[in-house]
Amino acid sequence: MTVFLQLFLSGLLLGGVYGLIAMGFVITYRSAGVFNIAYGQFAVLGAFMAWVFLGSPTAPRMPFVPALALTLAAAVVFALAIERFLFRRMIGKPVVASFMLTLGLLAVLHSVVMLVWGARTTAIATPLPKGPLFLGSIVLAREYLLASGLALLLAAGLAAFFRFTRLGLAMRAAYENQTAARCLGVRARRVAQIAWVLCAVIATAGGIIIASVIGVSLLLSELVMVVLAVVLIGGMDSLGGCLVGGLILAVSQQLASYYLNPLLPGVDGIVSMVLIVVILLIRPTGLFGTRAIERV
Amino acid sequence: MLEVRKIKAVYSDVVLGVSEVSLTVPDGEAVALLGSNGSGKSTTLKSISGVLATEDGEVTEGEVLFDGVRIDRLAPEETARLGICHVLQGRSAFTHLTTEENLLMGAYLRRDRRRVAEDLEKVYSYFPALKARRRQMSGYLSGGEQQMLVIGRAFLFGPRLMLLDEPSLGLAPMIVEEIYRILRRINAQEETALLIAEQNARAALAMASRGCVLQNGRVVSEGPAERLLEEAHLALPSKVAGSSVQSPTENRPSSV
Amino acid sequence: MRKSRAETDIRRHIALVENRRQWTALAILMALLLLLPHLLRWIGAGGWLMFTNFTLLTVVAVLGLNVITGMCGLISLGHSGFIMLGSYGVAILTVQLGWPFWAALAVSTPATAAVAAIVALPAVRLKGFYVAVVTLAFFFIAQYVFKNLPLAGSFHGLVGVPPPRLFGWKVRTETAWYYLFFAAAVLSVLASANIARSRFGRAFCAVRDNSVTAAGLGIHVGLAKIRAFFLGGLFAGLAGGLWAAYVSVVRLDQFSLWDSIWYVGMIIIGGGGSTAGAVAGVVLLRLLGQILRTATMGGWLPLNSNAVAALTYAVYGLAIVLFAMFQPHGLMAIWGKLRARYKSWPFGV
Repeated sequence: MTVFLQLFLSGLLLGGVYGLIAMGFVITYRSAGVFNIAYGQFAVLGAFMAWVFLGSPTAPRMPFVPALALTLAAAVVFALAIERFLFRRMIGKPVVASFMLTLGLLAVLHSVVMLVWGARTTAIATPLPKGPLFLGSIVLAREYLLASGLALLLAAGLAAFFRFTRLGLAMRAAYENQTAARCLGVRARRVAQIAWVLCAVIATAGGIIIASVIGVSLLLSELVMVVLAVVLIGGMDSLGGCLVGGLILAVSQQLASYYLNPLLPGVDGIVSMVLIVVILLIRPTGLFGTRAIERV
Repeated sequence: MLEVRKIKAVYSDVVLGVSEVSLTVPDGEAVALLGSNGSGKSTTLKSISGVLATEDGEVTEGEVLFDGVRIDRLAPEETARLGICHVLQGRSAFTHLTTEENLLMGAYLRRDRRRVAEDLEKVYSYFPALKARRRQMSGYLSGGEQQMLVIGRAFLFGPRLMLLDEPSLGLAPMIVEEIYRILRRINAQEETALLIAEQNARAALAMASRGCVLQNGRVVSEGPAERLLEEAHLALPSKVAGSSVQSPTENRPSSV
Repeated sequence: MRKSRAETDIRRHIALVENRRQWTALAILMALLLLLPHLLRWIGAGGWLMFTNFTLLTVVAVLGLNVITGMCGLISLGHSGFIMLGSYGVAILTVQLGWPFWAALAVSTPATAAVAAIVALPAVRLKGFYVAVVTLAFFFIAQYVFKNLPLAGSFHGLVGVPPPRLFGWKVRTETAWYYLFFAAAVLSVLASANIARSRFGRAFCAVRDNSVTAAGLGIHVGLAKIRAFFLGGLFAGLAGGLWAAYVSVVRLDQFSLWDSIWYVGMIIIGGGGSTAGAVAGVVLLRLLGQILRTATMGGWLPLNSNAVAALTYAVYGLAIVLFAMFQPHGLMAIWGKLRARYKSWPFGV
């Protein structure tokens, strides 16, 4: 029983992190209508930028707060540049064209990281509380505790933003009917800029958190598969769904890793893939998604 | 206030929408823009508000002037900030937002909170059905209610000029009457100018002071509303475009 | 089907080769291609023959993707997985079970197509990105399966796939491979062009452009999607099987997600839906890659192999981005515009 509880709680914490990261993806999908398959690369880029400023635990560079500020500033600049030079032209073009664009962007960003930093893996110096936390006989990762807390806070903050602020309402309206919103004065560009900035910042934050556990490397881009599974389970346009989806995925991974790995080694790696197939077969809109598939 | 001077609007560089269309909307007046399906009414409105560009269209000749300033190259957000509110064809409610959220979106550009609250109550008094459903998702409202919602939203915008694209489309005659009653009120009390594109010529001409008739993208007739109404009664149905002498219930929706 | 004159006979309208002028052009092209190995050797570029062989195999594979993505509009990011199935199929049958190559190919190719059809099942109800995600999931699951299948040799893969025998001779030289692959490519081009102008091809285009209307016209949308994947799988299986014999070693790390992405890129760049477009896209990207490789390895730009790979990704990615932004309908659209301008000169379009 304690084993199950251990797995469940670990999954809970990890799920919070997954949910947090997935929110960045959902925001660009909801607000800019872009299915950003290059999202994993955003996380890698963000983590490496953070590493440039923070350094590794053995060779730290800048104190945490200014380093984080610089990294986030870089993320904002990156997002604004992407919006301005790439996606602004795509307003009004078919969604498939934007998807192709993100495919190409995926390759370009991957190559940039490869060229600048190579295929290395390096630890990142963050002041996140590390190490295990013992609750009786259950062991939890401290890093993920903080991250989950952050995730919940962020989810609440974003939900409040979208529900209660004028700008949030405008962004929701723009998603429903962009032309009608523009006729009421909503600036399509502003909405897109905000969406991309949020996306890049969340991706960076998520990248840093995961990197603080497994290190900074190109492998972080595999996060996009996790994100895809999470948003499909939770619903492509639901922020709350991200948390639920993250939970389900993470717990499934933990359970699979303990119970199934002995039989089928490494199966926890493809749990996300199997869940994707399952959810697409039984409920394509996801648990909390509100759009009919035909919209895509 | 609004002057459209001999505009030619083209879609995708090759599809002609309207050609040599001119019309004026004086301050505070209501003008009817009439014509059957495909005659260019929507295109004309889109050329004014800037929505044309979002559909890969362009005003290649002529100009649109608002208070003497050229606006035909502006985006919808910018014409909105000049006081032009374009109510699009078909129910353009924000389906997953509540009724009240929809109405509040109308006031997006306004800063005067108290006046907005007053105007909101005014809209609810015009359209009691909306008040009953204020917290419901607008996607669940009926067609007539959604149209009322969209007009209420435009009212909350507080425009100087309201462009309406076929407000009576697909609606029952009683609802059409109610909507036009409200439009008349808005025109009279708020001194909002209206440019109404309609297939239902009778309803539009009943409240407008002037009218302009389009056919195949060109102006074929224009003048005071009474004269156009007379012409409609004398002429055969095919001459004054479309269904002007048929009852409103025989209007077919122009798009799927 | 890009006629400028109105045709009253449907057979002439959809004819693959329209007139005598095109027949002669085609004959000259075929003659050149048949002599290509000797021409290359004559100008001292014999080393390019290997590149040509790989390109021919890519053409076969991507023509399959063209049916799925170009014609039917279903974005497939798992095509590399289908090729992998074809390769492993042949490898397992020949190395583990001792089958002769042609028999293995004859079984492995339709088997791959069958699996592709199964992958299409979830896609039946879905559109757009959802299909792409399903194919992604398939790819990773397939990789996992082969990684853990002892029959497939796990990490080390399978070694020793025998070369095919043609009329008693073993195919061993690059030139011999060239003719084999050339035959396969010609067959694929013909097949693809015929699919496009057949009932099935038209159904695919209908599903791509407006599946609701297509259903209203009596086209069984789900069946069309399954058929598209099946056909695509056939091409991929063939390409994979031939490739297994060519390199004689089949290993997991030879198939990556990136390849799937490049294949989709080739379709976009060439121009979705047309056979010629797919071929153009393949040739362009492969040439770009080869030029990059010879330039960097040959000493013009001294870079290590990692950097070369990265640069290749960057160039491919940039090409995809540019086309997605400025000409999503690809080279064929550019070609079409040029032709239209030429035909209507000096009046303009």
